[in-house]
Formats: sequence, structure tokens, C-alpha cells
Amino acid sequence: MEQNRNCNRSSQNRCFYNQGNSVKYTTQPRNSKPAGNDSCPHPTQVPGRPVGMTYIPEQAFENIYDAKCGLMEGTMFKDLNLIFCGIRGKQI
Amino acid sequence: MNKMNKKQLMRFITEVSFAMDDIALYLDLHPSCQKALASYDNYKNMRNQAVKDYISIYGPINKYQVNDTNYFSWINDPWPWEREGNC
Amino acid sequence: MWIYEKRLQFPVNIKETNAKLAQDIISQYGGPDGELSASMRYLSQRYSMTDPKVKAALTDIGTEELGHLEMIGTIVHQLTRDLSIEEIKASGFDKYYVDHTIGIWPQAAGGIPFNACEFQCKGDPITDLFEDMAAEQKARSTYDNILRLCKDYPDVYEPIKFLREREIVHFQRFGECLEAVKETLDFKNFYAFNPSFDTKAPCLKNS
Repeated sequence: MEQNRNCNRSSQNRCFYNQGNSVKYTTQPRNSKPAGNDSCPHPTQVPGRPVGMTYIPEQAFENIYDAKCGLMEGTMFKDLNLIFCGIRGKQI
Repeated sequence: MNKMNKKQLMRFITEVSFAMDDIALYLDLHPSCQKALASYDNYKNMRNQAVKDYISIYGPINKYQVNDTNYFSWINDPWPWEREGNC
Repeated sequence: MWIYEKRLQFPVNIKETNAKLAQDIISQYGGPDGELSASMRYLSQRYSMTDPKVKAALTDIGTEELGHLEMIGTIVHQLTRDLSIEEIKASGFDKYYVDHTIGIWPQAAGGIPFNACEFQCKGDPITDLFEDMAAEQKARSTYDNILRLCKDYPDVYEPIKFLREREIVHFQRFGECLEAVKETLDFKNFYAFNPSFDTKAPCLKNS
């Protein structure tokens, strides 16, 4: 069990309105562009993930807080601790 | 759990109970996960001992735990929504 | 069957009254995306589910939401219980007070009473789980809105922040429920039949 007294994620202490420009975020890579002059996008079919449905990634039992931190943060799972910032940060 | 006062012991129960709540939800969807089962078991033992200690000194946490044969102490104040009822 | 424990899942200790905040936060008691709506939705949906993981998750999350309902009731109670009549008149709380004094009654902040139209139980596992994922996001958004309103009141902020995080965790669990349901369905056509209802229908041959 992770004995981590610093419950919060590394970039913020209490994000909400406290951090301003120091909040950073990354964007997802876009799908690769089609070759040639074809203006229709070529959707990337993911094997085992047909269209017409959504897919949720499975969560592993890892990065677990201790009970004290867990209660304060509202979850035992660090990877699900997605805090409210109330402001868009600077893209990195 | 030695030398914890009422407020500290209830806080401890709140913490380990929450740990079990969140791990149990994970186990609902991953019932064979050995790591989660071990963690659940660890917190369960802590919680059982803490609750046993609490109710022996401070009274029941649920209505099946009243040991007082003179008075149904389950009704006693404070209740959790009252300021004094919170840790 | 439910057993009640004489404690809150997360402590609430609010020392100052605030009728304006109470009028907003009551939406999470009786509003469309609030805890009562969530609890009734999940506890109602579990009867028509087929997968034991999903029955367990709906029962446990529905039960947890009752604990959250209690937290919200506690927050509103502690924000209003020492209000003077002058504070009631000045804050706009008089409209609620006239019908309920400082009792706790399930309504949305805008006044609409809690009602079953605020949730659905479609009896189809895929549909119901999407309803549940949406419900958790709606609740999370509502808590975002409340956090903006209460950021200067740490006694209120902390339990609300806790409740918001629970919505995110529940969203992930309902997503995992959906994955569990899909495992028993034809991945070339998840919508071919309703596994809660069409259990005896003969399989149609593909043309």
C-alpha cells in the first residue's frame, strides 16, 4: 500500500482558482491524417472495438492511497483523483 | 487504536470504512483481484477491531449492537447530522 | 435490506449559517441530478439486471448515494438551523421557509419538487448503464457549480469536494459494468436483443 502523505497530484495542492497559469495540460494525439488529396477522414478502426458503442478502459489495482488520504481525497485510487480546477491551464 | 479518544476512534472508523467502501466497489467489478482482496481483508480486520472497541466504550453504531439492558442507548444524541455528532 | 450506521461517510462540521448556499446545495438533495435521484435510479435498475457484478455495483452505489443524501441533508441543516427571521427575509430563503420552515424537503434549487421523472429505469442493461454514466457526469457538473459558489467556505467546500470525487469513481465503475455486460453479448451487434427480456426468443439467422 502506498504510504503517501502528499495525497494530491504533483501539479496542484488545491487547484481551484489557486493556480492560474501554473496549471498545465496535454492534449490527446489526433488521428493520423489521410495521404493524398482525399478529403474524407480515414477513421482508425480499433480491433475489437467496432463503431456504435463506447469503451471504458479497465482499471488496475495500483497507485492506492492509504485510508487517511483516501478519505480526504474521496477515493483510494490516485488515478481517479481528478480535481476541479475551474480554469483552463497552459497547454504543454 | 490504543489511547484514541472517542472522536479519534470514530475518525479512524470513518477512514477504514471508506477504504473498504471504495475497495469493495472495485471488487464488485473485479471479484478475483487478489491485490484488492488482500487490501479489503486488511482494512476489514482493522475496522472490526475498531468498531468492537468503540461500541464497548461509547455505545452502538448500529441498532443491532445495544448491550445496555437498562436503556435503549441507540436513541442517544448526538445524531450524525448534528455538529456534535461529527469527528 | 438496509442497515444504518450512526455516522456520516465523510464528516460535516459547518459552523456558520448561510441561507444562500443552502438554497443552492439543496439541489443535490432533491434536484434532478442529486443524490436521491441517483439512489432511486440505481436501486430501481438492479432488479432487471442479469450480471451479478452489475447487481452488486448498483446495490452498493445506490446504498452509498443514500449516505450522500444524508450528507447533503446535514449540510443544508447546518447552514440553516440558526437562521434568524431577518436573515431569512434578506436571503430569499423566505420562499422555502414559508412551506418548510427549516425542515429539509427534497426539491431542486429552482423549486421543482423531487419526482420520478428525474430518472429512468429502461429495463435494458446497456441503456440503463448509459443513463447511470450520464447521471454521474451530471452530478459531477452540479458539484463543479457548487464548488464555484462555496470556495470561500472551507467547511462546506471539503464535503462537497469529497462528494464530487465519488461521482467520478462511480462513473468509472458504471463504465466497467458496461464492459461486463458487453462480454456476454455479440460484439458484432450489441443491440440485437435485450438480455433482460429476450431470454427465450429464438436466435434469428443472419441473412
